[in-house]
Amino acid sequence: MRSQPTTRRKWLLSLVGLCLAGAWAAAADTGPVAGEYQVKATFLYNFTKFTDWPPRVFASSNAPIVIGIVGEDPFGKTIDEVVSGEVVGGHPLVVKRLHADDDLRSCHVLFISRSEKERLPAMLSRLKGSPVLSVGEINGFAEQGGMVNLLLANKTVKIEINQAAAEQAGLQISAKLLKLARLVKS
Amino acid sequence: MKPFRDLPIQRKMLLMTLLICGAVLLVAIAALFTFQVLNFRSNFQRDTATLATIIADNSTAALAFKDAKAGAEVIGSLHAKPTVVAASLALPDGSLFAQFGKPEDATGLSQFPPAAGFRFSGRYLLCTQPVELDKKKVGTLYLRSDYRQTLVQLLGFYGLVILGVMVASIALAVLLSSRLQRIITDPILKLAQTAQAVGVKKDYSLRVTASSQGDELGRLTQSFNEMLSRIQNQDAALSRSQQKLEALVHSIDGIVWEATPDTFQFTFVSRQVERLLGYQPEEWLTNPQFWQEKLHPEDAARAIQTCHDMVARREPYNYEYRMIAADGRTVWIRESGVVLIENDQPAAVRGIFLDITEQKLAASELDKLNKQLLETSRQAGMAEVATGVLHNVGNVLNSVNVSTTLIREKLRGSEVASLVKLGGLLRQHEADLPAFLTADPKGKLVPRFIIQLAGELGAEHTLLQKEQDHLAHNVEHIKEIVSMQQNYARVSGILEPISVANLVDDALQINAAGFSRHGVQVVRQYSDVPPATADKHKVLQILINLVHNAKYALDDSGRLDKRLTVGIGMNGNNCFKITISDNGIGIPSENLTRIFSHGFSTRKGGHGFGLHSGANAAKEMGGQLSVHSEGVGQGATFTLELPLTRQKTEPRTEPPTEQRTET
Repeated sequence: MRSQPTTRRKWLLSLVGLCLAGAWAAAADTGPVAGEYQVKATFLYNFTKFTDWPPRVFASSNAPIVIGIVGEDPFGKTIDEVVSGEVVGGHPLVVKRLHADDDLRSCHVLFISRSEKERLPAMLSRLKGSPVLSVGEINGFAEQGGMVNLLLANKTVKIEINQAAAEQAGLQISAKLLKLARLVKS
Repeated sequence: MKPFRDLPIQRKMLLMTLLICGAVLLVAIAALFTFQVLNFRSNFQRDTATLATIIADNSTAALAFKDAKAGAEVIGSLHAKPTVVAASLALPDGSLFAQFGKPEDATGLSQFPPAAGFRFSGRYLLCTQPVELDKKKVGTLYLRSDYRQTLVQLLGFYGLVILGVMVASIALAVLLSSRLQRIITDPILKLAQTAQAVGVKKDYSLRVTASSQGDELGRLTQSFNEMLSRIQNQDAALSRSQQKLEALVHSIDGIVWEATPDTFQFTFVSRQVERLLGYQPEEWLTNPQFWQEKLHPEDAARAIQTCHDMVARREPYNYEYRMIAADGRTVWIRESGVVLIENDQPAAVRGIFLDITEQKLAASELDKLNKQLLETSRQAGMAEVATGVLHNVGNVLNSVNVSTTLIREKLRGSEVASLVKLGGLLRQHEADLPAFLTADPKGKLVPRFIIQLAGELGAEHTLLQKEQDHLAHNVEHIKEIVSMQQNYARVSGILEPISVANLVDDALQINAAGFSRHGVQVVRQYSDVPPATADKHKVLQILINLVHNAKYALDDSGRLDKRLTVGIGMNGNNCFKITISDNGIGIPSENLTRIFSHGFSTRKGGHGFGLHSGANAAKEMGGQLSVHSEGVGQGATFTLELPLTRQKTEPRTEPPTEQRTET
């Protein structure tokens, strides 16, 4: 038999829970823009956890992991906030914004913005074989040779992964991540 | 249900074994059980922890990439674990991400440990597992497992196992125990059976078959057998001894008995009762009043009373009474008994009946004979007295004889003859008498002769006169003696006052002639004694006899200095004593005691009655006659002691006992 005070508490918590759930749902509803890139930023950050780079890409054991953003930066300071102060596997995370013609191979993770849709194949071919995790957000990104594609669908961000491309580049993507993603072949 | 200690030992041992096994098993099982139960929780927890870790690990990606579907899939795999009833993944902000099983609501979630860890809540184990990706929390996994179900199942399972094990163990224990305990109990049972058989049958020849054990049981068996042998031997010895004793008791010529001290009911009577009284011991013992009934009617009351008194005094006793035998004859019984005291109370009376009928008869016979003897003695005494009288008269007659002989001699040799001759001579010379007387030589002697003759004739006369006196005296004495004898036959001696000195002198006088003739010197040593009262004649007779004997002794000695000493005195016991001593032939020591015997005499022609009757007479008068002599040739002294006065007594006819010799 539960006593009265405990029941009241539970009701309160339920309410809070509901509100939270509601908030979350609401967050999911209000503008894919604000939430989408929060999520994508988190994904980028998380990708660093599910990816293994070959040791030669790091100058030392605590050399930073560079997350490059090429093209229009859709994240803003979101990604910086997400990444700031984080260390993955001993490597601190750094965000670099790049131009298309910069040395893209200096990144470990490269987010190719939607804006670079036209230049995508050239970029991809330039990156081919380099251990850079290419992340896109365009349809067909993975089919074109990109490694990870983030697609917004049904208010959620879906992941597509071209595992072969990653393997070719010498990158090892965790099976856990692979499991979540739709595997694509180029 | 019998109490435990009365159960047979096999049952006991079985129960003990069961108890021990059961207890041990219970303890072991309880320990294991508790251990298992305690372990179960931690096992379950560990198990759940492992599960949680795995799931958490697998859901990192889903959580990181917010793939709810993937997340649900991951935790959905928990269906494989039946104990997991619900699981949910929550994002770091607390919002639910994925669920499995019973939808967990906020209230449910609040039960979980807040950050990480386990909590047992009722029947559930609540597990909170943070999902970390690269040490960063990406979410939380909540697992709810139902452990009670498992526990119950486990307990049930264990319970069955326990039950099975216990049953099996107990069965095994019973089986083994019933086999093995025989090693111990069989010898014991054998012993017990044999002991019981010995007790029931009283057969000490039984033995327990020796077991070959070297342990205490084997030794016990051995000791038991040895004990039985000993008992058997002792029993046999006791039996023999008892038989011997019984035979002894029954062979004693008397009825050995034992009875109760209050009612005299007999508890034991020996077999001699058959022989002596004609009764069976059995009938004596079965009738509590048997003894009392068989007492002679005249003695019954006295006997019973005496018995009670003796028992009350608790001293050994004996007394006599009559009993009636089976054939009706009267039997004199001398009962000797002792009282057995136990705890200061008379417990039993024991003793022996002796048949003294013969002795009693003999006693009465003896009594009769004694009376006869008394009478005969009296008669004999009288005869003796007569003899004594005769002896005494003889003594006196001796004196008479002596006197008359003296007189005759004197007369025969009397000088009267000479006077007659002288007369004749004078007649012859009648004519010339003056001339004859003056001229004749013969004639001249005549006056002288006449004067001499006158003297001699005078002396003769005096002598004759004296003798005649004595004669008369003696005759008087004889008369007295004879009259006394006549009196003696009817009445005892008359007591009269006497002068002891006179009496002694009389006795001497009677023998005086003899003394002078035989040249015996008579010495008198008289002391004064008070007047006495006695039988004068009897005393005189004794004295005469003594003096007579002394004279003979002196005569026989042939001494020239014959002396007779007569003394009178007192002996301090209010008796006067007269001693007559001589220095004659004496008395040899071997005769000193026989001298007073009837018929003893050392003189030829003596009838031996004198001293005997004298001693008798002295005793009769309350005194005694005794003798002393140093031996042959040393003379002898006879002492007569008599009381100054005495009461009249019956004439006693005791046989003379050996007189004390007095110095």
